[in-house]
Amino acid sequence: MSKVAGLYIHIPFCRVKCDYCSFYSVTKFDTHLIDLYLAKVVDQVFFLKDKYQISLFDTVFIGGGTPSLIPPASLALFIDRLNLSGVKEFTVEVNPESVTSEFLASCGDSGVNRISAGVQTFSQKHRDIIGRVGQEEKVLAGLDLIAGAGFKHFSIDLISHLPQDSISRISGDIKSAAGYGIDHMSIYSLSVEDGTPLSDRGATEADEDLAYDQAFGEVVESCGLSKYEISNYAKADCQSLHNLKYWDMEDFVGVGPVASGTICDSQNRFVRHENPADLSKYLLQSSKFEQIVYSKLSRNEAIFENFMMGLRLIRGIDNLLFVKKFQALPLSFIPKTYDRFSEFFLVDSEFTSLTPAGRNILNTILVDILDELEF
Amino acid sequence: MKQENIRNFCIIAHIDHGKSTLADRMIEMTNSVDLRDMKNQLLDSMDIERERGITIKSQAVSMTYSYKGEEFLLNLVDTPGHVDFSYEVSRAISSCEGALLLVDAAQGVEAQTLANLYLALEHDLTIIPVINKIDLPSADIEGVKKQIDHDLGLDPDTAVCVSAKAGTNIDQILEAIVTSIPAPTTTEDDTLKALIFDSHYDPYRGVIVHVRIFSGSIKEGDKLFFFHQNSTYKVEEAGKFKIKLSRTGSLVDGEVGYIICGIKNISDVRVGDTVTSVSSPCSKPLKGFKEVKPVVYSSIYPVDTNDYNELVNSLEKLKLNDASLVYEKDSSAALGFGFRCGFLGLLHLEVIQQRLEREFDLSVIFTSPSVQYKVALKGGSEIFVENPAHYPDPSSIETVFEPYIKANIITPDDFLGPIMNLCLEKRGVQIHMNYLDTKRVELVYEIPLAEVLYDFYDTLKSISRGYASFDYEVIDLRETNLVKVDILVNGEAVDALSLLVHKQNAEYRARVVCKKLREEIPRHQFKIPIQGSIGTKVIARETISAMRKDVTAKCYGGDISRKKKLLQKQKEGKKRMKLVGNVELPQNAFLAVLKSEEK
Ligand SMILES: Nc1nc2c(ncn2[C@@H]2O[C@H](COP(=O)(O)OP(=O)(O)OP(=O)(O)O)[C@@H](O)[C@H]2O)c(=O)[nH]1
Ligand code: SF4
Ligand SMILES: [Mg+2]
Repeated sequence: MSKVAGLYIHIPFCRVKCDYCSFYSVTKFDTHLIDLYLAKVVDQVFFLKDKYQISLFDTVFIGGGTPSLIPPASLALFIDRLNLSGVKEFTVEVNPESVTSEFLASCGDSGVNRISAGVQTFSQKHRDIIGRVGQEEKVLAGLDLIAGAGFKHFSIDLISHLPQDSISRISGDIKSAAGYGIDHMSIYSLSVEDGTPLSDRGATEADEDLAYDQAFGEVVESCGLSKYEISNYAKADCQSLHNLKYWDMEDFVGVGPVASGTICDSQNRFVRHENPADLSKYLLQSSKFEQIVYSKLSRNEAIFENFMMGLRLIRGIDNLLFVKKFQALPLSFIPKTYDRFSEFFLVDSEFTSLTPAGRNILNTILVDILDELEF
Repeated sequence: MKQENIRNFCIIAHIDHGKSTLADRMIEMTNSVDLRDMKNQLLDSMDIERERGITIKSQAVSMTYSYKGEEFLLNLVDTPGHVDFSYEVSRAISSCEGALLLVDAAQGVEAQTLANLYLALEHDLTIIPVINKIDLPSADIEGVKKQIDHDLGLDPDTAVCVSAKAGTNIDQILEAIVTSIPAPTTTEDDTLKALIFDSHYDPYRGVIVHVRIFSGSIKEGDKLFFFHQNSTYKVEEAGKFKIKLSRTGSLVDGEVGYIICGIKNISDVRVGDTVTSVSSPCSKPLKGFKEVKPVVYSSIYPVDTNDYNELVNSLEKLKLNDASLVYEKDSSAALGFGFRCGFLGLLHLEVIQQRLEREFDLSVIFTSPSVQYKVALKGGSEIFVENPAHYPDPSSIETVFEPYIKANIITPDDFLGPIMNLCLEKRGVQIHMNYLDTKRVELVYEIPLAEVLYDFYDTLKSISRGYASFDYEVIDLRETNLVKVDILVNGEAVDALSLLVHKQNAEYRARVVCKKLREEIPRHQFKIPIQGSIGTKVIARETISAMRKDVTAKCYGGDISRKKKLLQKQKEGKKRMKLVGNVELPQNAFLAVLKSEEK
């Protein structure tokens, strides 16, 4: 057993559902269900660890849903049962509107060294527009608690391109977030997904607004955070190690409903496992976890995913890692696409990346790569 | 069957007045088809006809009917009502002695009613006026009778009032057919003279030639001479049109039927040609048909250039059954290799487009339709141009001429004002205006054909709340002031989007096209300017703003499959798009150019 992997654990519980949210989570639960669930998760972690011969989870991310709804004592017991050691980065996602000092203390005692707080926006007007759970004052109070708890790393999530948005709204949010001494920030543009109440209300995604994009990019930089991925910013050496595994297509395991993971086996084949998007199905399966769907990625499919994820990074695809997996440099697989978009690619000995203009047309480029790799 | 017990007739009318439905009822009444095979508009056998509820191709069917103890053979031809297919009507008419002229009891006499009546009168057909749809609450039988008298000059007392839908009074029609339509005249002369009035292609049996015998007879084994084609064939099979082909071995004087002579290629048969026998040929052919000439031209390109060969095959197959379709090779910088095609009108164009997509599963792009212009060049030579791509440099042009039509419009006088305005806007010249009765007016205009293609019919219908009807024929070429408008997408002129338009309309048309394109072209991840220009002068401009979707959205480990699916979907969508420069143009963008601005 020599494999090192990341571990993602999904906590599918939320107090109420946000209007824009299309993640899988349930709002009817009690502490008993949470405990039952966590027990199952522990089982699955060991099941997958064993299956893939993983010796070490060096990054752990407990996300959601709303992990901060787990009672502090249950959380401590849960993490203890996972029997983790040698974790370099251990993140727990919290919703600042409902986080408690007890919960944070429990995190700290259990080895958690990074808190990721889902703020989305400080503006109450915009929280109402997108139907984000929680009131502004509670959010501020929660953030104070986190900042005071002294975790090594602290990240805040914001959403850009909201309906009725303005440069001053997003800039204000970024500055407010930076005021909490964070070392990492994620800013996603709002996606209006079909079937969500937000979409039913007729909300649409914003048009491109270069002035907006540029303005908020500058504000983030002025707060000492540099962009390292399409929607992520960090202080030096504070990039999310766990998320980098996704973008570099390194091994990671996903546990809990809808969670998925990808592992590269000894023959350099990529195997994906996907959990059902249904809590009861998840809970009711046997200790063999027969609800997991496994799929083997074809070589070209894996290469494609590597482009899809790796080109999101500002530094780009790590050539060495890529060659280790596929025995050739990235661009050698996509001569046609490169020919067409060469002005947007940057290549040096270490990395293959896109220019900022290239990242703006990432999807167009990816569709061409998809076409060229044909799987 | 005795000659005097044969009746050859067609059903003619304005579009939608119920011809095919009436044919259904007659087929039923005469038990010409098994009940279980019966369906609405039975004779509309092409998918596209059934889907659109219109007849495109004439269909012949033979029925036997007993009247006063005697058997009669009734050969019926159902014809299309739409003006694009009026050549089908003239062919049908030349194979018949009589015609049922249907008039919708609620709509009254409309433009094609008149046009088709004139065609029938030219051929001396006996006409039975039929008032259809008397079941409708808005039916005005008395009013329509007056119109039949006054507008059509027919005896209203001979009109049969029916409901084809409900099957009311169908027996009266059958009776009228037997009693008032003459039997085909026989001649003493027994030299074979038969008119080819139609043909169709059967993949197993080759070309099936539809003939009307005017003298003599045909039997299997006979050697035939086709006049125009100047070629001889041996008859392998002869028969009549039941619902399916029904082999009889021979056809005699006065009969309508089919012959199969081992002809592989439909273009080897000319509709309108005369068939005679090799052994004792007739001295001169029957009067044929006017050649059908395309009215509009458009180029067809496969969305996926790899489908070119399939497009070639599909067009060949379509051509087998549709001799009016003409095409030649064409190529475009933006769209690659394709074909320049001539059509009988926009409906014909749409029909071909749909058939290519449905029957042959091809994704195709049609370019903006154009009429054919005559261009007199400095230096005295003349050329015909129907493709904007071939339009000569303006500095070399002396004069341009464009085709004009004579348009007949019939409308209640309430809408006179708006309709006259419309015609004026379309550069029409009023020739004639005439009250058909106290409320209905017939207007005759001469209008440039190009104006009618674009937006005319829909507008006419909408400003008259559906009451005005319209019919036209191409008359001549007249001097005009033409310009070529180029459309630039993301700075690149897309040759397939160029238009030839009258100078006066250039700006408006360019604006509409740019606006339509803005609606149809999906947002890309960059901003796309769309411009219309004459030479280097920009006359219209729109911009498609860029989208950011999925670019800055989050994408972590759990989102990989979903994100990949989205991209795969985008890739599928792209297959139906044409890459022009860096912009993906959907098929609809090209079609949009044909469509008018929504009012
Ligand atoms: N109420 C009523 N509707 C009728 C009658 N006859 C036909 N229709 C309807 O009128 C519409 C047109 O009928 P068709 O028989 O397709 O007309 P058509 O003259 O063959 O049309 P084209 O071939 O396209 O010129 C259909 O919706 C019929 O159901 C009738 O007697 N009464
Ligand atoms: S808290 Fe997060 S997971 Fe829960 S409903 Fe809101 S957005 Fe969705
Ligand atoms: Mg019909």
